[in-house]
Amino acid sequence: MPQIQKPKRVSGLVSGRVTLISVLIVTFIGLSSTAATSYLFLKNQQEAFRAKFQTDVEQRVISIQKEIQSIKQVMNALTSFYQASKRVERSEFQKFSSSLLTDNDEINGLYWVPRIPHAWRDSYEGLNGGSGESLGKVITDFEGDAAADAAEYYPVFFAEPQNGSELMLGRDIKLNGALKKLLDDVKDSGVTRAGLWMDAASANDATFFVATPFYRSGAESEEEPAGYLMGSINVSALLESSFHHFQNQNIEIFASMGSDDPRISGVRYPAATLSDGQTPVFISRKDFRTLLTLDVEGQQWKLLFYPTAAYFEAPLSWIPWAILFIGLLITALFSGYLWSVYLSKKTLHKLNRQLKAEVTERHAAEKKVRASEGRIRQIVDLVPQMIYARDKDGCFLLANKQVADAYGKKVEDLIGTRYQDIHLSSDEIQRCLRDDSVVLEKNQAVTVLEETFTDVHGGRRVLQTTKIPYFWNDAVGWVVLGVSIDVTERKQLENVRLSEERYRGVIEQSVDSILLVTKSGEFVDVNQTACSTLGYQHQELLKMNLFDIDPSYNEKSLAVCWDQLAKQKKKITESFFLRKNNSTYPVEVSITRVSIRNEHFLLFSARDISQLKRMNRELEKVNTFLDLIFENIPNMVFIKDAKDLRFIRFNKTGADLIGVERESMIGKNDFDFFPKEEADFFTQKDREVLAGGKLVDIPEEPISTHDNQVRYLHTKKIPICDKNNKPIYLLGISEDITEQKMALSKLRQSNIAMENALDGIAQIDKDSGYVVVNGAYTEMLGYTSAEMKRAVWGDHVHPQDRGKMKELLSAAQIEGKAEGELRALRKDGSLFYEQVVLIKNENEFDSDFAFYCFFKDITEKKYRTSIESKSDLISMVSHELRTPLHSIREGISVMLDGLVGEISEDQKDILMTNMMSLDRLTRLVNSFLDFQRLEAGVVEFDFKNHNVNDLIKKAVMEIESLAKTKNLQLTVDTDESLPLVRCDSDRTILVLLNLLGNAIKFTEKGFVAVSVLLTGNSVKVSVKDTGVGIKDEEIPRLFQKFGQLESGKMIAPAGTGLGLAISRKIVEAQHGVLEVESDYNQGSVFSFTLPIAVGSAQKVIKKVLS
Amino acid sequence: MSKKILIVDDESEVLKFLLLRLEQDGYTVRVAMDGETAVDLASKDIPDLVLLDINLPKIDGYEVAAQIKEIPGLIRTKIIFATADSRVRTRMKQENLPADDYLIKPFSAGEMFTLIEKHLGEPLSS
Repeated sequence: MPQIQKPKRVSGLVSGRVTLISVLIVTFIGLSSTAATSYLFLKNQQEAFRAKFQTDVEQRVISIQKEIQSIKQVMNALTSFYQASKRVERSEFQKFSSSLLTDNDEINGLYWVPRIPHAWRDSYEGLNGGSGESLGKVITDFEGDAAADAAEYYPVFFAEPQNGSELMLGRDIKLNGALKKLLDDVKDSGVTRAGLWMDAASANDATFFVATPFYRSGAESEEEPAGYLMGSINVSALLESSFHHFQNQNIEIFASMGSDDPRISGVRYPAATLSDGQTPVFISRKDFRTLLTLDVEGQQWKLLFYPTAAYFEAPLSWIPWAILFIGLLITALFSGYLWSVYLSKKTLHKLNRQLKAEVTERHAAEKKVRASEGRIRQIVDLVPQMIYARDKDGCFLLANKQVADAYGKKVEDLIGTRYQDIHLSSDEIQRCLRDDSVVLEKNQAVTVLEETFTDVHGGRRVLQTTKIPYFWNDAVGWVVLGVSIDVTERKQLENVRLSEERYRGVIEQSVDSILLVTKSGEFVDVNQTACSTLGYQHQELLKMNLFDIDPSYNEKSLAVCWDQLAKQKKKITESFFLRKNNSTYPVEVSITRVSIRNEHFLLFSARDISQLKRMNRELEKVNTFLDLIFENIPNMVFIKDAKDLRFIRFNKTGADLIGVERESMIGKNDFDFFPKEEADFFTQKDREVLAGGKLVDIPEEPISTHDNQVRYLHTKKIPICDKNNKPIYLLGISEDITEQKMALSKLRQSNIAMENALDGIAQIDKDSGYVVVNGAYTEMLGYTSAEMKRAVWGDHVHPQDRGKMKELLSAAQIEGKAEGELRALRKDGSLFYEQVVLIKNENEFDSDFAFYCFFKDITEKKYRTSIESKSDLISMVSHELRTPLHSIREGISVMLDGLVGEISEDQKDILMTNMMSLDRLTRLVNSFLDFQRLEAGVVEFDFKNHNVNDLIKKAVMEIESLAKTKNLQLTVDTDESLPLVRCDSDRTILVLLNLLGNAIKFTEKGFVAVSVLLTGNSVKVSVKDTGVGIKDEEIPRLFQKFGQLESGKMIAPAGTGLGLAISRKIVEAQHGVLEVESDYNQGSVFSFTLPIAVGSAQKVIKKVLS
Repeated sequence: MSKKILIVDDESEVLKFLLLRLEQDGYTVRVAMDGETAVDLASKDIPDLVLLDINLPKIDGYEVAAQIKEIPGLIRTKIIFATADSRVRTRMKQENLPADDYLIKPFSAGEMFTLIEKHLGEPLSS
């Protein structure tokens, strides 16, 4: 019998009494203890700050004292120093003081104040000068009672201010009451004192004075100081140098003298952080404000220390907050928990009351149920479901007829029997008992949708079972109540439906047309693809048969096919299907024999292959096209097998190049056609390409053709790989570059020719910039080849000839060639003539230059031409002059000889005179032309080795008669031991004749003597006479053209005036010197030198030695 | 037989005076006023000596001398340049000119005869 279980009592962590009051007390205690703890921490922190601040303040006060101490020491040191020296010089004072001022910013100035008797006052007044004015700014109160202490006078003697603005020079300190008080104070105490705090316009300019007494050396016993060293100290700077080294700069400090609140008029030392932020809770900045009194050498300073908010930002400040937070958290959690316990306790009371009411109700209902139980049992037996109850051991407590039938037993036998004793399959027993135990342990219902069950006949049944826990009675306790419905039939139907749907899906999704055909060709089933491809409706198609859509089948052939497929599994054919619109399309048909529910059918799976066919056709076309390209490309193309490097394909161009039949190449390798070295090279490259897996470019490789010629190829080899990136073929493309290579080598040769040409050659661009220049041209201009690269042709042409140069360029542009002469400029600025030939570059393959320029230095040729033309001119003149002279002479001569008839004596005289004049004219013309030739440098000397004695003899022989006519003695003093001389014999004789002629001409009596002398490398020939001589002042005129001397004219007026000038030219041209020595009225010596012939000198030396 | 002398000069006066003088001394003299005529005359009637001016119209004296020396049978013919061009002196020394000697105008009759006799010997006077 089912019974209602009594609910358990709810219990929790806190059992016992949890009252509202206790919860409140706990909360209160938590909160108050938290607050107390954090307050204590804050208080503690505040105390810590106070102690720290106290230390900081003390340190600062000490620092000020130290700073003042150091100033004092400095001043004491200075006074001791000055005391030691006899006399303090201004410069000395300034030197030491200024170095001190540089080191100590706080000292504004140092002042030297000696004590001086009043009687001397006047002599110091002048010191005041104009500088007292600026002093007034610092100290205004100098108008004291001068007479009161007239005996003493304290002028500021030297001063060294920090910035030059506070000169007190010359001022009498006594006149300022405060300063006087300071000095008196110092005098009385005898030590350094401070005084006169001056609050200037700006508080931070406040200064005070420090004075140190000093005593005259050797008079220390005296009590009165001899003077004072005073310093003015800037308070602000003093504070700065006292405090700047502190780490925590967050304290504001005010200093003043006298005022009780230094903030009002004191000097402020500002804190680093000015922001007046939040100070920590429980801390009041005002509490920290500290006012101190500091004795500074007799002055009472008030110092106020005031921390800023930033001062309190110490790292400890978060701790009290953390304590507060954690405390509150703990309190909240704990009291919250207590609250929840308190509340849940109240709810439980309510639930228990409800349950009691429920139990009472159920007891009443139970009675009613018992009454109807008999009826229910009947119903249970009659329902088609299996209904049973089993206890936890599997023992049947209840089973209806259906259960008993399934096991083949009676209901009465089944009750009390264990399930595992009657059931057959151990798997099913285990699963079933597991479900049972789940139901009982978890006290919940379990539904098994598909439970397999083997009945007494061994048939497998599928059950849908629901098991629920059921309280049987107190003795048995909870049991499993099960209800099972036999769903075996339904399940079988479901399985069939599922498999059919799956099959249908495959069929319908297929891209192939699927047709299920009976032995007689009727369609049993067709898929959607078949319908759409053939153009029929589904129903329409099902009414047709195979022969309608594939005319290649008839009943007979289908029967044959049927039989074939009984033996083999599958048959694949190609055929054409007929669409509804009577068009056909190619199909690939796969036919299999299938049996469905013991009936046999043929399954036609047809694939539309019209696309495939078309693609195959396209591919074939493309292949043909590629083959055409392969064959007709003008480069050699070949394909080798990657494995053994045998030729697989070889195009016509390649075969023609090598000169073999293409068919004979296929299947062979390089070694079959080429010399071993070449084949080795090709093979090595091939392997390289295949190993590297990428294109290899061989810029140049020689290849021997079949007729033993060598061609050069530019080859690219490419590996062709399969989809695994493994090379299967090697593709080679070769271009025949033999002609290019030859052209290139020709070009190289022509470059060599150009470089080595003797004439200058340049290639210039259209702007006449040099592209290439050869060595000869560079050398011609005197540049280096690097300098030439940046130049243009115009740079090297004379500015006046650049127009001509442009004309040449444009002429060459139009006519292809131009020629001309230009003046060119060398690097050193010198000029030369060049012949230029310009040739336009018509080579379209080498178009980086526009013209070829050929240059030839023709300066020498030009020069020679000019000399020749000059020489020609002179010759022409001489010819034109002489020809008529000759005619006249011949005419006279013929008449005189009586060849044209007898002439009278008078006539003869006239003709004789004419003849003499003619002779003179002839000589003059000859001399003049000779001189012109010599002067123009166009005379060519016929240098030969001569014996000088012979030349003299010849000359003397010619002129002897002339000397005889004047009764002059002509002596020759020769020396046969003389070496040969190098000269032009005719011209040397001419010189001698000139000199001898002159000597004879200007000598009336006495002698003319010729002598020779060896002097160094030359032979000196002298002609001495005893004639009129030459005045010293006339000697310079002697060798001038037409330079006949006044003195000479009177004696011999018939000279040409060119003799000496010509002689000198000749001698100099023969590398000699013509000299003259003369005593007026005593005679002259003309002498000239002739150089000794090379080789002849040796003989001379030998002769001298022997 | 008297020696034959061919005088070549483009100035008729000179030709006239020389002709007078040379015939007086017993030479057979022919004259030509230009180079072409001179070569023509020389090849027809072989002279023993040619007194040849250099500055001639058409072909100059040097060329005439060269042509005369090339004519077979004229190998022995002496050639003396008689010119106002003094450059002949240098050229005669330095170059192998087809002439035997030279005279520079204006020259005296004495000079001329000295040279002629030097090359032809004493004239055979009839």
